Amino acid sequence: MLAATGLRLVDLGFLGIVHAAAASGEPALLAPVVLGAAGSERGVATAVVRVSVAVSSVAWRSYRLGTGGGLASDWVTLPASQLFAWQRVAVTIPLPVDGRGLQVDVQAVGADDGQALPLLRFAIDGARNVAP
Amino acid sequence: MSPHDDRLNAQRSTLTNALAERLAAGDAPLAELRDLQERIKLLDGVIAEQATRDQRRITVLLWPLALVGFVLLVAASVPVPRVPLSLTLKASAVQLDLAEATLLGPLAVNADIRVEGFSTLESADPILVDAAAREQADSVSVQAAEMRLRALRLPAGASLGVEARRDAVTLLVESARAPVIAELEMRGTATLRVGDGALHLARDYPRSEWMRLVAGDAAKPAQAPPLVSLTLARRHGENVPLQISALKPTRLRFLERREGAVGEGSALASSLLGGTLTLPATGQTLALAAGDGLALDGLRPERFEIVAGTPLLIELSGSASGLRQRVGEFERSLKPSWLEYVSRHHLTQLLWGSAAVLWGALAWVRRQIGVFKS
Repeated sequence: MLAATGLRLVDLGFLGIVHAAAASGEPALLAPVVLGAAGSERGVATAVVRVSVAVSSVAWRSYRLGTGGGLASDWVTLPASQLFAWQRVAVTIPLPVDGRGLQVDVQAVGADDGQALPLLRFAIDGARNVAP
Repeated sequence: MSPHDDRLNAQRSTLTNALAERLAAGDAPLAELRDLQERIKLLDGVIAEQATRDQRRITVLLWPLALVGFVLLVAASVPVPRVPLSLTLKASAVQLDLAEATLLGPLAVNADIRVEGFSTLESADPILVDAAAREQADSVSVQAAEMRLRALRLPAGASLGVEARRDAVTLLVESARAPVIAELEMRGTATLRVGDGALHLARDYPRSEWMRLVAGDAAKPAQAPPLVSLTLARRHGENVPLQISALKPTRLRFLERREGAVGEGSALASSLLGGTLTLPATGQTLALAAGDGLALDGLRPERFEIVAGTPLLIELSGSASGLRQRVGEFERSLKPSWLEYVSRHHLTQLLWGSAAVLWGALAWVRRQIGVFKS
């Protein structure tokens, strides 16, 4: 099926799910994100992502929704993020205390060629972003 | 003419001669002359009726032949509604109509990129966003160690042109609906020129950075955005072609604008450089020469791929409802007729069918002849 699209595995980058249409009408790529799972720390979201090819490192950053990325945090490289193809890794993302949402970028560098995979970009809606 | 008719005509001739002789003699009684005249009138009536019956019989006998001829004429004139085809060609430019909303990418682009025609620049890098707002930029040029066209999002009904030049490939997007969105990703040391100002921004992205360029207003989709162009300029000494696949064009044209002599302006000309068109419906393989015109409409591609080097290499297999070739001033449809199609693919059925129709027609003729004889 991938061959039919003309894409290579390295072009796929991360495994994501086309979950719902965003407000702009274009599909949003959502990583499987676990929010406030039982026994976990409150105010923290965990995104579990898989990489399509072997990577030498995975990093992430976050910024406020709707700011256009103006206040992006520094990239945080995940420890022990040398991964095999399709191996999964958990990204723990602290949520803002004011209840607003976040935009998250996840980046990985291919182990074979040192080239960056396509960014995984997803949004976490905060309680205050959701219309009553 | 039947022997019966011959006898009637001979009889009439004899009576006419007799009447003429008796009149010439001058001594024939009037009753005899009237009798001869009455006989001639009766014969005229019978002969006229016989002629009408003969005419009607010929008409009836021609019916099945006329019907067979008409069916053959229609089958030879009416083209099949869709024609399967396989196309491999080289061209310097191609225009694709995309009926459905289309996503092109992600594509690793080993090139410098210039995008023109957008109205909004979004990025996680605030310096880029500020520069675009300050310059009211509708164009941006990016040079970076790694570049990726993450996505080119086209609304339904958009037209995408792909043009190959010696040093660059240009994607031109024309759409009646908004928005057209180009998303770029870059990594490493980058030089950006936002807008037409002289300011060059030197940035370093050790991880990756994204840029989202939006043409038109998503809140007003009926408002047509300006023409968007993406120029992918090859770096010196590098010629890695861009591979574009998974598009579903409904219409293809091979045209480019060429500059004429001074004062003549520019004119549209064929961008074809050669290729091969195979029509499995008729078993034809056509060689397309440089400068030939080719137009494909109502496409349903099963495979469509453009390798955007210099020139463009295009491979297509699928079917089309319209297929026309133009050589000079001569234009013709390449769609086969039903007769060609059936004779190619259903020859056995065609032969048996023709035999059955001919047998039926002959049986009809024989029956009609029998009716007339009786």
